[in-house]
Amino acid sequence: VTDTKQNPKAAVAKSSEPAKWVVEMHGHFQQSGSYRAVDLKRVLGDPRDKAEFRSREEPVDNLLKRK
Amino acid sequence: MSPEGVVLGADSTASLSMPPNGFHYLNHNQKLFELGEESTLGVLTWGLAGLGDQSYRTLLALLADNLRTQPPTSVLDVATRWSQQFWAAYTTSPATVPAIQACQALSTKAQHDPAAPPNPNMRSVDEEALFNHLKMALVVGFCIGGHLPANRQPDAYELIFDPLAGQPSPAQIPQLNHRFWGAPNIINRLIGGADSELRNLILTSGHWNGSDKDLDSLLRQLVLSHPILPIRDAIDFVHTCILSTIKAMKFSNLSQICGGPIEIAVITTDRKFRWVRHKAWDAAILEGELL
Repeated sequence: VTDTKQNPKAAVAKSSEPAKWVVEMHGHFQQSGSYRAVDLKRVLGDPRDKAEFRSREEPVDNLLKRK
Repeated sequence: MSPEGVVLGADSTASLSMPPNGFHYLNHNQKLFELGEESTLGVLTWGLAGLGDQSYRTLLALLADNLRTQPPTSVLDVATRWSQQFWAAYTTSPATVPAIQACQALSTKAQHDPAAPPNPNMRSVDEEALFNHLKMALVVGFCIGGHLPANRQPDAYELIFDPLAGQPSPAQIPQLNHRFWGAPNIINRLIGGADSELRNLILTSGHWNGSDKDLDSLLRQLVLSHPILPIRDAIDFVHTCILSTIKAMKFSNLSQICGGPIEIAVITTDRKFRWVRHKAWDAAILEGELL
């Protein structure tokens, strides 16, 4: 028995086994040739949604240090 | 969005439904357009790939014609006209109307409950699957960005056309912000440290004792950030994010639904629309050839 709490590498190896939803997704794809909406949303995200980030505005002191 | 201008980028894969089942992936679709010729505006699209026999290329050319005869007063004015024009096409196209109507009809029914007896006012198992498919597959988004020569102020707007919502109002993208659409989870994981799915899994796991805000505070510590970039580095950043998404798809459990040539355009405040990377008209012919 591998204690994954004591051995993080074992936990990583264990996590490489496909999750239940991945098995179900492949099964559905083999049957229908398409992905379920729930799987697309899980992997890709909602098409109405976005990833959004902002450039960091540096303090004037930092700008003055630029050459 | 950069103080120097706007950078737009896209992959080139179109996922085309091939009835009765399955998809076909074509890698030379156009998702990024100059709005007219010799323009200071560009348009980016994601989601639903077209309206049947009405291409986005043609619809955007018609918008450009309109802008030529009636010059816009702002980038917002351009986005507003596109919202009106595209909404009219989206809601009347024979390619989308039956699906939109089906989606709207299904939305009036209650969510399927496997424990409840069949009910005409509740979606069946098949209806639930169809509803979930349609409300995602019919969404199409646009980003219109650039500047008007009169003020040279970089500006950009997001428009999401959703079968369950009305005509969208353009949403301004704040200066210095970067937005990624289509497959946001990959970039949220890469730059933000986590996507909404992971956040929800943690919050609903039963193992989290803190509040939503506590978790968000922890996740914010993982965000990668950079200072305001020179425009060429902003171009590199956009290209890197698209390439990362393509490679994530390549090495994932899904089909390659994001791929093909990466296209990048820049509209600096001192110049018109310029292609940084734009596939040639023989790109599909050359596919697979050693160059």
